[in-house]
Amino acid sequence: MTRGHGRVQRRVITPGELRADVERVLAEEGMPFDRFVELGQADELHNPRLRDLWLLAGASLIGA
Amino acid sequence: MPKAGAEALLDAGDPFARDLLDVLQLICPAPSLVNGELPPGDRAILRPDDGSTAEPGIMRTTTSGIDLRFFFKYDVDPEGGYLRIQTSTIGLSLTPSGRCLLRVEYDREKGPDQPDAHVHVDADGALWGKALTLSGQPLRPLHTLHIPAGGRRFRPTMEDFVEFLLRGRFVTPTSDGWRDVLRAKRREWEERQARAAARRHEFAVADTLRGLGWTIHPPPEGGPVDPDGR
Repeated sequence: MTRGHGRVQRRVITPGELRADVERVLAEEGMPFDRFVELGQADELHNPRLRDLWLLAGASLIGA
Repeated sequence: MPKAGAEALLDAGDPFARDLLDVLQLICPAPSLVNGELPPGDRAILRPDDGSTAEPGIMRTTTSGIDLRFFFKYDVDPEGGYLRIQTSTIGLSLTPSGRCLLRVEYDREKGPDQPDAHVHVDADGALWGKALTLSGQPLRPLHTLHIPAGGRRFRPTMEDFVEFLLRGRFVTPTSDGWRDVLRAKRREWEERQARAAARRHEFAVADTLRGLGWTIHPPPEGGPVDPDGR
């Protein structure tokens, strides 16, 4: 096995950047932000895209 | 660039990032990851470098039309300084629809009603529909089912997912040595998990080692007490 293929880039994802990306996805999926938070906290998101969105960004959005 | 305070967090993620690349390079021609600090700064994420931030990243495989979608959100265990995965998802999706066929989802803080690690199969399921009907449940999409998958300690890994794709011939390997790479990576993972399990179940581990002929001495007086009296 040869190492060295691929690269890892470091960066900081800002709250504004994360929120903007979340809102873009929610707009595409037709879901209001507050409803997204409500369903995410209740583990009642079934749309795979929204489930992933909550898993990734939910805690950061609500300050948990 | 990350501030000085975030460097330690991202440092913890770098070895895992390199391990991921070792496995991903088997099926992805140009793997590239972002190791990014997430607000409020006590957690970070490893994901494909595809320009997005809030969604799992897309990484092209050697097979046109089949993509990997994944991310790993992590922090550092405050007790031992170990990398700790908080949430993750690994999935297989089709282009151009982006429709996800299969996902392995992990949430460390999952509530008691759902398994920490589970599989979602987002595909047609006529037989599953029949099973739901026979059990008196209303019909619902297959992807709403949470299939338990090993819990916190023994959940499916990227190695498992890549092996599934290669053995199933969904993607073309980039080299002939993929079996050896996966075997070695899986062994490393199992050893890390064994160490973590030993920290959590020290009495069971000590008991097992004694049974194998080891001589094990407990910590000095004042150490933990075996709830089973071993």
